[in-house]
Amino acid sequence: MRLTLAGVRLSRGDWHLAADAAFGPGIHFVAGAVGSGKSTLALIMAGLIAPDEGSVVRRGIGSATLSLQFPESHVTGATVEEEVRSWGLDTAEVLGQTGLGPKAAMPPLALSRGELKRLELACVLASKHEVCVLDEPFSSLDCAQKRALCKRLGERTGGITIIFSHEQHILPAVDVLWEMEGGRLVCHGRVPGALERWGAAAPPHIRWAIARGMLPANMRIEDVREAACRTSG
Amino acid sequence: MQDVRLRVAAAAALSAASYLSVVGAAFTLLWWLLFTGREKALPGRGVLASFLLMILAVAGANQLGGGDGLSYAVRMVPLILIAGWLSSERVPGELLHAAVWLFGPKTGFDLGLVAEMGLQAMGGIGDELERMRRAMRLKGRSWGVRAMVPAGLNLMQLQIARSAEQAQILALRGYRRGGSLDPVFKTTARDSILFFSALLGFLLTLCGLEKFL
Repeated sequence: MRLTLAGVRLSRGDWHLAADAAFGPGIHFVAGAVGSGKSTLALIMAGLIAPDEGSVVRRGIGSATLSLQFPESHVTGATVEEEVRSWGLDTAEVLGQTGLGPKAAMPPLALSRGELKRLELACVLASKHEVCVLDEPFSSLDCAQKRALCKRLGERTGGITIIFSHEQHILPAVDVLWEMEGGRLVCHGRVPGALERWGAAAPPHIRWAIARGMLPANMRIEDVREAACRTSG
Repeated sequence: MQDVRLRVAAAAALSAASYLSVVGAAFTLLWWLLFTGREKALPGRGVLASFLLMILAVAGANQLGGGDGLSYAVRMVPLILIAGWLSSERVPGELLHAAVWLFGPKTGFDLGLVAEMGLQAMGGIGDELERMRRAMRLKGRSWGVRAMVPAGLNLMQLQIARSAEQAQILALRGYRRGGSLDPVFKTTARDSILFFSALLGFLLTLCGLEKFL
């Protein structure tokens, strides 16, 4: 199973995007500042935007999905219950998991942004796709929900999960680290070695650890805490 | 046409001419062919198709009921083309200028603001429908009649929420009634020629253009 970006190029005026990469099974984290081209690349990977040059090659991949940055963009159902059903999912299971059961009859757009994000993420993750691209999955979520999402992502096995995010604090455990630098997708490699190559854009806790000669096992705060305990202990 | 006043007046004259008679409709079609960007002035494919379907349905029912459905269809099509042209030439903010020029800084400003906000919202509906089509594709579902009802309900919900937000923002910024705006228009020679040709077409139709042919 492999998703390859073969010479992908896209230009919008003075802004250019370039990506040559191959994604295998596991969790990939694509970091990058706001406006660096993460969402555009996510749309290209999901096949919703065609690049000017190059192609997206899917080998051994039956189906792929994308969680869009703004949850409103997913809404097609007139009620919360209908919205879950529009994903072809069991409503009781998803509503139970998200705690939105009492709001099942409400229009999805009447939910708060955070609730809607929670609902759409639950639907995307419950749909069994081999490739799951998540564009800014942590935006609009509170800390507790961000942690729950990290746990959920850790439970996802077997497929290719690609997370595009500028989140700097509550992060999931990942396998490969990527970064958008000046419109170009750069691979820092496998974690933990990749953390040393992340540089100035890395989250503060990672920079803090690297500056003190520590190499955490992964990029979560608890990994840094453990590395610090190991060093001092 | 750069002057919104002349553009709207020309569109009104041509629409009336087209509605009044088949000859007026032929004149309007000729005017559209000669003076607009044609393809650029056409409404979106989906919008055009839905309007044409609506016209054909009414014309068919009219014809079956013993009326002149064919004449209705012939008179309505140029009207749609003119509406598409008017919409394609629109520059944001110009209706506010036109309304203030026409009705003054109080009522005119309010009417212009409502018109601008309404048209802005209408422009966004196309984007919203495209967003919904994309969402359906991601869910592996097809965009059909069954999707229309929830799509319509969601669009309504979005528009109501946005209108409420805009109203709150305007109130927070201290908006009560009217505003100060010095309307500015740029009138070119072409604007005048197009306007007077449209007006001439309307007047001739009104007087019974057939008599002159």
